[in-house]
Amino acid sequence: MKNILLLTFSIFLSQLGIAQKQFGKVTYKINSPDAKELADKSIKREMSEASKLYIEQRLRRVVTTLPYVELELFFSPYEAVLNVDNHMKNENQLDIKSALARTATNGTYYSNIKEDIFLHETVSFSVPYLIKTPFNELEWEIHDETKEILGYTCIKATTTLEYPFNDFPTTVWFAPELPFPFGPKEFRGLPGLILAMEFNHFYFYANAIDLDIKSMRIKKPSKGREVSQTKYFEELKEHDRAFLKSIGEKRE
Amino acid sequence: MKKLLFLAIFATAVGFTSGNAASQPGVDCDQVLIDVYYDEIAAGNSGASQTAADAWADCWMAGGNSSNEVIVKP
Repeated sequence: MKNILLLTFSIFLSQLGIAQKQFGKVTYKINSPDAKELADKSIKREMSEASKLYIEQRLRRVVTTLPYVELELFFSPYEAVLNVDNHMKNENQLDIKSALARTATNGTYYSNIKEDIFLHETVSFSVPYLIKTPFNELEWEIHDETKEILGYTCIKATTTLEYPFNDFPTTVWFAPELPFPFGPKEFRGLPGLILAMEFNHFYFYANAIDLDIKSMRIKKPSKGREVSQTKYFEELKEHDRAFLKSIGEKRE
Repeated sequence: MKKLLFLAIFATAVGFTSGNAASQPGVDCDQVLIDVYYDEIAAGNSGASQTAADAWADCWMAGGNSSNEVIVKP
């Protein structure tokens, strides 16, 4: 473990000089199990066969749509942005935004190391939010395992993402040779670009990296009411209570 | 509920939903809505209420039952 940490940080430091002048783009694709397997893994409560069929139908649409999704993370040495809202429907009328919502991926994710911020611009229960958190907020555990992705040696790291209604233990693979501490969704803060991620039965993986971009302007998201993550989660719980009340239900 | 069902009907009208997983009459669409909602919100879908409303609309349009008042708007 000690050796792998030393190796990670020495590669990271040696690559920092390169990073000062680089801009880049990584394109992620998403793999998933088939709809039946996904349903079996995700359904956690007792329900009627009819409800199970509807959930399977929903997941079939998700599974057939996800192969058409490409998420593009643009990064400079200090900033990164991943915008999901430019995906609505493709030429096959597949609802990409709805499929991505099932992977808890939506809106715009923005990182800025210099300002020590991470912003997530999103809409929840029809309310636009700009959720602001410190850049280095996630607690990572770095493991001994490595694997090669697109020719880069990647190191395994794990964390748990806490959501109001569920926690998501997540595994990522980051490349110290690419000294950009960014990744898909909320995942960031490792000494290398994240090239793959296992999140809630979905597998996000880089299928292309472009490091030849000479310049770019990364736009900071600004729509929605700015809230802390704690406040956002509180409001999400209030929306949830109100929704369940509107259909005569109480949270189990 | 009225607002929710309006959204559901609208969603169906513009074609967000497709197919009838349980098209036989007698299916409890209100329970389908609740089950789909819990499943989606647990998956971290911030649009879980809309997805659940879409499922309810699919169910109701396919002849399922609902005890809720339905407002159909153009």
